[in-house]
Amino acid sequence: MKLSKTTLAAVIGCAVVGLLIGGWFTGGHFATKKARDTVEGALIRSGMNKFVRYDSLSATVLGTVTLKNVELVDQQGLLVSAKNVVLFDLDEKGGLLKSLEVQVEDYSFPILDITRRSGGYGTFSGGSDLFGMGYTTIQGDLGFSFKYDDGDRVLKLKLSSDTDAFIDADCTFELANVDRELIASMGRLYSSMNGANWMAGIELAMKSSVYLLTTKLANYSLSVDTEGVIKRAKQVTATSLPGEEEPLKMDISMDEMVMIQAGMSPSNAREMITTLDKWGRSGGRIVLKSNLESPVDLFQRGNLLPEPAFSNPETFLALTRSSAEL
Amino acid sequence: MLLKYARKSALLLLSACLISPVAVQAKTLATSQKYKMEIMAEGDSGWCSDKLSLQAKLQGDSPLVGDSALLGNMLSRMKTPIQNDCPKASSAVIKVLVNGVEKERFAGSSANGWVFSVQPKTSAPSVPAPTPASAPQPVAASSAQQQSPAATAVPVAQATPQEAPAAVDTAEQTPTAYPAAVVGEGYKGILVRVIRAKPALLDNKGLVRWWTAMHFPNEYRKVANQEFELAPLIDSGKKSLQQAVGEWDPHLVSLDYGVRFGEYDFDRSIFPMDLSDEVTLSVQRPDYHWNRVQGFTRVFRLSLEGMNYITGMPMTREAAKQFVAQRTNRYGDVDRDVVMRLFIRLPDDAALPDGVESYANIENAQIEYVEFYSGRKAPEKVASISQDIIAKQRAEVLAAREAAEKERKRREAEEEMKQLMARREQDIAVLGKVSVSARLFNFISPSTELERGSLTSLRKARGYALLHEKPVTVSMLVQSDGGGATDVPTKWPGLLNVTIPQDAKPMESLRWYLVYGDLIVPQGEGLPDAILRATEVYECQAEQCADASAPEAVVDRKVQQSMKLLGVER
Repeated sequence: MKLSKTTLAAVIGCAVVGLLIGGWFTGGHFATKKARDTVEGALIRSGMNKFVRYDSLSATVLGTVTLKNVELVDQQGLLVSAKNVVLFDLDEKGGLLKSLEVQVEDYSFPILDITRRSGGYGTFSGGSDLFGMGYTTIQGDLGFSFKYDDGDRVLKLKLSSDTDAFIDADCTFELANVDRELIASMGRLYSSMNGANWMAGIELAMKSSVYLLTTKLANYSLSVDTEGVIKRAKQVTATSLPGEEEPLKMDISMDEMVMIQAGMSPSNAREMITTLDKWGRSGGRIVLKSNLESPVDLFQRGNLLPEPAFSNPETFLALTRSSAEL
Repeated sequence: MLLKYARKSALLLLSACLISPVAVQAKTLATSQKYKMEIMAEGDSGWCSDKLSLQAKLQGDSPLVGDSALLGNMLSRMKTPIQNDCPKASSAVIKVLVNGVEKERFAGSSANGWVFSVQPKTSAPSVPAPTPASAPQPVAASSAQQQSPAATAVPVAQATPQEAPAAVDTAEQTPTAYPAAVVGEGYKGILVRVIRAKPALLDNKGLVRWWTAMHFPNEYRKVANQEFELAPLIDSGKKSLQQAVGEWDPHLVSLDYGVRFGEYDFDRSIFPMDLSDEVTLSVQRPDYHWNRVQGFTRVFRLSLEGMNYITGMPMTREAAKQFVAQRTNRYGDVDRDVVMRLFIRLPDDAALPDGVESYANIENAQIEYVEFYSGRKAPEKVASISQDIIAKQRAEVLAAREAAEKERKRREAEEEMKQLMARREQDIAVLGKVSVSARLFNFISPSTELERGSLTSLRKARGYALLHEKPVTVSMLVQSDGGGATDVPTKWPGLLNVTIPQDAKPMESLRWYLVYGDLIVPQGEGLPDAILRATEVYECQAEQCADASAPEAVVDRKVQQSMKLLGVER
């Protein structure tokens, strides 16, 4: 039998595709086994296996790990649940975490049930206002990204939250001069604190804290959108008489003088105050970001442990040359 | 000889501690300084007989006053003096007098080891004998002849005497013939009535055993500790109990009550009596000391309404003259103690106790019919008050009480009105300084007093109701977005439906209302409409109820509410 070139090419092509598919699934099988060992081992060693439950775990040869129907519980019941928790781009070698992204899809945070379990608080204040507006369970998606370049000693952190009719937020932090020992000690510190060896954990924290003094903030940006909650607040009035509505006033009182004393120009300080006040009253989307030409210190020496270099929000905004935009 | 000496020494020692036998005076059997008590025999030299009549005289500050258990314990120490001074006595009744006023009676007998206990007459025979449960209606009279009337039910609590009811000439009334069914007496009567309501008690082993012991005391004592001999006897006892439950009157019981009558009232043809409006009779279970059982009620506390419907013992003038003559001794003293047999209607089954509590209360027992017996020495029926007379008397007392209550309310309303008017200006000034929300809150609040507070916001009310999983009482301003009385939607604040009382004017669309009531939030995701069930509603006459926010309007509303509460029209 003699096959034409076309047929031969088709056969070879099918064989290659078949091998790829087979390899994908075979690789996935082994990857899943490895990921399960890693995740279960990490949960057990940290003592979190009592509090984290999931239905299934799967992994691909590309390193993506997916946990389905994940629940975080405490002794009284459910704290948070998520339909999927996806971990990808995991790069960890020798205890040094260099890269990790986590996507929490369709999470559910039952704040009313949790509050009831804890006996409730403040009959007509605080959390009950949230419940009054219908926020008995906060739902949405969460994203977290961790990237560390041990060559440049730069750490990039990203956090994003997208909720249903509530508050959306995105923030990024770029830290410079981050010692690899600080990153390496984070994992060990977590294990120590969750295990029985508290003293070792405290000792490790004391040692690692010196690296915080060298860590600097290169840039940050923060975006908060309260449109969903403002819309809801207008629906469920907080006043007893018409015409007095203030949907969801947030009291953002900042001291202009403190900003100026910390180095912000008076015009920028006034503009910052005006923008924040306007956002506090009417809500919506606000973007805060730094405009740094060179990194600034995040921590300073304290009595025992390093203390934040910014004693108040005004100083933070001033030292990071922040701007606000609605 | 030595034994006799030792016994006397022990007795002397006991007496020194508790009760000191005094042999100097013939009538004084014992005294106790510690307990401020003196025990005397009634009668002179012939006081010692088969059935003793004794008196325990207590001073008002005696520690035994009000403590029947301790008193019974002390009186049971009379065994020795009685056996020494009157060996032929087989039973005794001790009348307890506190500052000369009879409070209760104790009975004891040689058969039960001279243990004295408070016992209602019908349930505490000196010598226990089967109660004739099968006797026809005259059982009350016949049993009065058989048993000492001294063992009466004990009033343990008395309400403040009410105003004296109008006099009724009962002397000419013919007593109504009472139901032919057997009327249960005392503790047993009540117990059988309770068993009828709670048939499960028939399976109470302790109860059946007790009944058997009371009905077949001689047989029971012989086999009490021999279970194989006892079993058939208990079966007979249970049959006897079932028979009583089936045959005795399903509603009535009788209780004996010792009373003292006053001097004959020639105008009303009665021997008057001063009885309290309401009393609580403590009917105690008679127990043989050798057969104490548990697991069912030991004491029934019967709250008896309307003792003051009984104004006295009716009797014609001639009969009364003869009656007094018969009861006058050679010194001219009249024995004014008689026994009153109360025929009592117990409440419905549901209101009766379960019969397993040690102490069981029975409320709202009513007197239907009364008979009077001459007393323990010659127990014969001497008078009665019919059901009709009692009913008439009850109606008159209730009418008088109602009239007095109405008058009291009227006076209170007048006083309240005066106070409200007196502080009107002050209240208006206070309201002038508070917010509109606070004024509207006070306007719709059902309270007759000004209160701190303001109208409730929808958000807070919803939050509270959800967090605490229960209705929250709110006062709210609403604008209707539809008409009717049930689940009316609101344009303001929205997300809220209002239901108003059935007798209120239905809501009209797009009108403003002040509402007061309970708000709930249905279960469900998102924002389900809250539900407000209003108990108070006010239809506003102006936009956003501006008419109700004036301080004068609030104060006037409070005055109206006060008058309404007091049932008085302005």
